[in-house]
Amino acid sequence: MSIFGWQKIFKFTLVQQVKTKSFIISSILISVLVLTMTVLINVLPGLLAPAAGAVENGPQAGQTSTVYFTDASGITASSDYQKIFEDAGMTFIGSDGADKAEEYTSTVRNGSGCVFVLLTYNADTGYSIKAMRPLDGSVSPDDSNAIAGIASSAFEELRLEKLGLAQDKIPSAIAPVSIVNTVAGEEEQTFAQQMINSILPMITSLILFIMIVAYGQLIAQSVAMEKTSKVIDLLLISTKPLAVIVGKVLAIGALSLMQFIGFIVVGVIGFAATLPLGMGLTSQALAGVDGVGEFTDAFGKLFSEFSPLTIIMILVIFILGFLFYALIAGLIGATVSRSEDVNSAMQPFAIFSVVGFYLAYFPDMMADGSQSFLKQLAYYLPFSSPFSLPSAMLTKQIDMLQTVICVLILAVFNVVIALFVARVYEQLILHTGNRIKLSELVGFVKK
Amino acid sequence: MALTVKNISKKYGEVTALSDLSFEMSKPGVYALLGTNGAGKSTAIRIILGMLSKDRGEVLWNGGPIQPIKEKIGYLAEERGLYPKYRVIDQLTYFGELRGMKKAEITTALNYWFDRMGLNAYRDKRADQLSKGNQQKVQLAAALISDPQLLVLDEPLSGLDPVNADLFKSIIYEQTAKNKYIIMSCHQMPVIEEFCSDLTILHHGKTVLQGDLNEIKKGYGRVNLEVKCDGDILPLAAECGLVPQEVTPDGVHFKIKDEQQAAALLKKAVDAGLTVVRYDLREPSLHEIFVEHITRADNAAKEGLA
Repeated sequence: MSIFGWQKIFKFTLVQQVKTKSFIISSILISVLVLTMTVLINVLPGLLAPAAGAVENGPQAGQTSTVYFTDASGITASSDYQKIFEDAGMTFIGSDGADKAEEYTSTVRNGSGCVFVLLTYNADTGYSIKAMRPLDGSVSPDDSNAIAGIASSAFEELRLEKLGLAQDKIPSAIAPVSIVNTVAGEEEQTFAQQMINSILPMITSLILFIMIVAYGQLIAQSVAMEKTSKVIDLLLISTKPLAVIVGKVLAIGALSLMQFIGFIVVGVIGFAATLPLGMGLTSQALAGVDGVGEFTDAFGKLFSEFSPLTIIMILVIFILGFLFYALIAGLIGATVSRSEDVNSAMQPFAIFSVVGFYLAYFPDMMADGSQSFLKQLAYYLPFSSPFSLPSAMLTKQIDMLQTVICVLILAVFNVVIALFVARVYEQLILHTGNRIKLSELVGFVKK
Repeated sequence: MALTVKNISKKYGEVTALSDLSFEMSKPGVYALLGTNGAGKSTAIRIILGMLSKDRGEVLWNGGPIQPIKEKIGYLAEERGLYPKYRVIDQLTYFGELRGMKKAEITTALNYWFDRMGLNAYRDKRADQLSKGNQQKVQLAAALISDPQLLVLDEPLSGLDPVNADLFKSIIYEQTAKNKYIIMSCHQMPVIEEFCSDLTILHHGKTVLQGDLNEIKKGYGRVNLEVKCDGDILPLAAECGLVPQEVTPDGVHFKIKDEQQAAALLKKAVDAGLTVVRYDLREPSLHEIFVEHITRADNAAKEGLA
């Protein structure tokens, strides 16, 4: 099975596909969409700043002028809270016991710029702070929530004090306890690292999945078109079927990579160009985790931990995974005799790729996901390993030796499937008539 | 230089598509592969061109197994194929590159064929913007671009208007004059008679007639008589023992046993004072030979089944 001449088919297919209207239009439209989305991520929340500002700045006297407070905790009194709220610029009206709860509820419901805080105790459920705001919308849910927060913090300290704890011991008594769970000898992951470690693998696999679905269809269409237009007769006097399919699959693979890299570049440029505006969600999120520096550090740390070999391996897995599915798409294209049959013929392909994708991610959703049998299986099966291996490598759930074994299995399957596809393609390429069923393919190989 | 086809056979499951086809082209010229639809012509051509594997037999070119990818071969397929959305110039350049031609060679060849076929106005058009005839010209250009030594033309004239048919014929004549080896499959028998010296007629994958066309015709002798008179010749023909095969406004067609029978009818017509407008004593046409052999093969098959 010679592949002599595949480079000419590769070059021609690539150049002609780039010239097609569908490629040009989809490239422009998706680029504009990506650019718009990345710009909006930074700009849109900024444009809605007046609404968001109230949340950031906490309760203001102008918005919440009066706080009604009923203390039915049995441990503190409403007067304990008066100074705290008055210092925040609000009028404080308090009562002890639940007697006035109904009255305050009615007053606040029909009032404006006031909040009613009800502190209660239940033997089964413990303490509860309920913040109620007026019907007229003069106080936002965030504002009333912030007032409840103030009451809650104050209650934490006051009850310890009432129970006899010295004032100087209270901060240490209410200090939060954080739980750190790491592999022995390794450092704790920051929030940014955790984010990157969970999002990056998903993005990698998602990109591969989208490429497989979108470009698999294109490969099948291209093969079917060559067959239905009878051009293949002319090609086969100059080259072999394997060269035709290899040239086409690699060309469309390269095209898809080029297009995807283009989208990513456009997205990064749009995001980076509007980030300095500091108006959007990203800047707020970054502010919450000690700024851009932490993310930059996390990215730097992530990539510094990977050897060039790891990065090359991920790239190889990506390419082998795409080729695996692309060859199958080419085979499906060869089984049809009419272009309009391609869509229905591709349905099993879509199901196959979805199963591969979910097999890679489903174990993560399970409680004991990290070491489950399904997860290990996903590493070794060639239709799921392209989705699961990159994330496993990035999150260090798999060592290099196991990775190499899984990649070798994927590579061997690629060779086997390429030979199978070439053999079937050779038999099917001149076939006309009904679409070949899956069960009939093996018969073609035997011939 | 010679093309030798030896006992090539091909089966699809239980169906025999081609059975022991053998022929030889020891000198340049046009060889005809004829047959009804599904007779095995396209299968034979695809095997000769290496596109289809064979179950048995061999195809030799210059004494060695034919290697279509390496040889200078051109092919015009029966079912025309061009990329509908790609420019004509791009497609032909691609086909030239696949045949191993250099850029400059392709440019020279394309300039010649675009001029020769009147395609200059269409070089930058997409294939689906061309008429059927022009698409066919582009495909012939694709077959000829590498100046092939062996040219396979499957139904080259089907669907062409008379002007373009003449253009194609003149190109085939040119190629013949350049000592090319041409295999032609065509349902238009007069075209075959015009170009081919040797032929094979296939039916259900089997060879039912093969040889030099002139020799085959001579073997039949002049057994066809076409007569047109200004009066009724049928009573006179009956007196000579002749039964009309076909009566048309253009005359009456008789099958004769020998030329004396024809001479007797002519004498009777003259004696009867009829004006003989046309008197044509000829060998059977290829069309007649073709139909006769196919019918004979079908009848033999029916008898075999019975």
